[in-house]
Amino acid sequence: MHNRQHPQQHVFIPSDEPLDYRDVALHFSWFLDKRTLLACLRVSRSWFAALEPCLWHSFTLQRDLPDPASLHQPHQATQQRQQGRTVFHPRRYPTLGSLQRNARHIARLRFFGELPLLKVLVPHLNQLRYLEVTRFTDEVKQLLQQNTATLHTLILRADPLIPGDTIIIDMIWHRLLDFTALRVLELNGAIVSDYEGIKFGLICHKLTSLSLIDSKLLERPRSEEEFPRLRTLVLERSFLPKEDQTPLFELCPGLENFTWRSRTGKLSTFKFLVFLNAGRGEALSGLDLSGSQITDSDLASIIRLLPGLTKLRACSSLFGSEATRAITEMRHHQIQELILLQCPEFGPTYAQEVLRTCSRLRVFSAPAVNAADMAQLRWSCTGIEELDICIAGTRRLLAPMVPRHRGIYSQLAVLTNLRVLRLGEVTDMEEGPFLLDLKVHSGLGLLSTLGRLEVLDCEKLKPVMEFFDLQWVVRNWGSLKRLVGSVHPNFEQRDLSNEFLVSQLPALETYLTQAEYALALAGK
Amino acid sequence: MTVILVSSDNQDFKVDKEVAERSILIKNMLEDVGESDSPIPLPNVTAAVLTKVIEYCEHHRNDPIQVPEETDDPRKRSNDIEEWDMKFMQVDQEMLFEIILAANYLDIKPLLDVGCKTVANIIKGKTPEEIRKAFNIVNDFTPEEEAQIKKENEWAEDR
Repeated sequence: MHNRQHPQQHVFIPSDEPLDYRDVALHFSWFLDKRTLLACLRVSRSWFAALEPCLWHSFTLQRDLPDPASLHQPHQATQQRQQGRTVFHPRRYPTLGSLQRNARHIARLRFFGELPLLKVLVPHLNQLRYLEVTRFTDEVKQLLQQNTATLHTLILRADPLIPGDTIIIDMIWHRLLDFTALRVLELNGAIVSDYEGIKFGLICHKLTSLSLIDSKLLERPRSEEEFPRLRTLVLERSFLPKEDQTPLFELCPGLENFTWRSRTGKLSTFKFLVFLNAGRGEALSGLDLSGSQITDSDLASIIRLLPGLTKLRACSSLFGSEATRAITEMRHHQIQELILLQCPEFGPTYAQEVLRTCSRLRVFSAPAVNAADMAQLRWSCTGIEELDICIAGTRRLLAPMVPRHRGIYSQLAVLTNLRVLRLGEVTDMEEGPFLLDLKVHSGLGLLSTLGRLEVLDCEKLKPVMEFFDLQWVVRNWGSLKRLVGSVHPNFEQRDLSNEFLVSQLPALETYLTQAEYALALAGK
Repeated sequence: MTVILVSSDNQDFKVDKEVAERSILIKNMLEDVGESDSPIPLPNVTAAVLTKVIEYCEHHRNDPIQVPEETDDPRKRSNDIEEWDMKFMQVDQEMLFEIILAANYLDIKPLLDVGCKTVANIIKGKTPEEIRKAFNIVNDFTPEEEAQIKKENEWAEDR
């Protein structure tokens, strides 16, 4: 490569090398997996110069992963070791020289725990746009002072890998007043004291997204003007006095996503309904009321008052017949996501109604649907991408069972856009043969249409997949990236099966349980 | 309303304003210039490349405008390219690079993304030597330098 001016300076003669342009190099690096990006660094000097900063654009510092063996049953840990799976993965860190040379390129920093390494980095971190940390230490406070002009997203949250972890945040509203670029704020354990309302209001005025988790708002944001930019408001296990709730909603005319998940503070449903009734819910398209003790009837009223509703999440709620009717009668042509896990009132017949009427559904999670209903092939949501459901009443399917099996598989086969499939079988039978044993001869063969499937979760099934069935999976589900559960009741056979699958589908990761996957994800 | 774009080799292109404004650079220029009819010179883009760029903007004229998310999470980006775009990008390497450069200059982020994705998909999983072969690049590292880079950046494999 010829001697060129540093790409970040003004280039008088336009270069004909795309990588000479910082934006191009950055965009390019975003579409490369780590391995390929690291290979690119070794291609040539000019590629190294262009792409090394990109490697550092997004930087995550983590304490070492806890040994999963200490969290699981001992025999599972032994099994893991027998499979040759690494149970403890010590992390490698950059050299000091590399850090000092490149820390200035870090725009996104995620930092979990407390590591002395941060002290070395802090003086160089002046261009931060994104900061996510789990401890509000002096170094973090220093970082906030240094990045008031650039910081766009700030997340101060508890460590997901440490159960019951909390973070202590003090004097946050005062510190954030000077931030000119701040748009996304997520805080765990924040407190808005009863004299901080005005500062809180000034900060809310800038934000597009505000999330307060395990927080106490003794005062609402005080502001003469509305918050026109605020699109997303999340209040999870946070307390906001009833008399402050409606005034807060009224300050957010453009709100598109609202989450209220609460165990302690109660959402005043009455006030919320009054607010919506005044036509203020027009922009609202995403609603999450999981865990709120809102009655079925009030949920139905809320659904009816939201003309733009496309995403609704109401896990562990009283969502039942009335709310179902509101969806299937008024929102069936628009609802795209409906997540109703652990809703005891949402029976299988309601699930069938939703699947039958909501043709735009892309994501659906519900307790159960009846096998007999399913086999009737009436689902209209053929574009669905994520489905999480148990199939009930399989016991009562008398002979001829095989045609009924196929009916269930046939219904699934129509869902050619499926990327994530989580199935369970609700049965009082102790022993098989179970309906959904995921064998080609039982009907799995019909699912060759699911060419886009990336995730299969059969944790709640009892499959008995033999080599023939696994070969079928390899041939037909080439996009599979994640398998959760056990494909065979015998654990040795299961381990062999997983090994075979991983050898044929290199992108595949296998997990025994959803909990194991969640742990792995939190560690990334 | 139409605007006239002039390529570096002095060819005129008559384009609907809505299509031209997919380029943020042109959009800003038009806002500055106001109601004037004068053609917009694009000294960094040849006619051949501009033809392709206009073709892209025409096809995507009704796409929602992407809000520039400064902290767009790189982890959430997908490498999928829609079918039309894939066919559109079936050009020789030189044109591919020129389209990327033009998309960067004209500030058409979706086209820049598609171009970068296309190149990324070409080199995915390749070794440095294979990448050099693909783009006719001379290796100007000594073996020791290359080994040092590999060692120095091993930490990144974990993340």
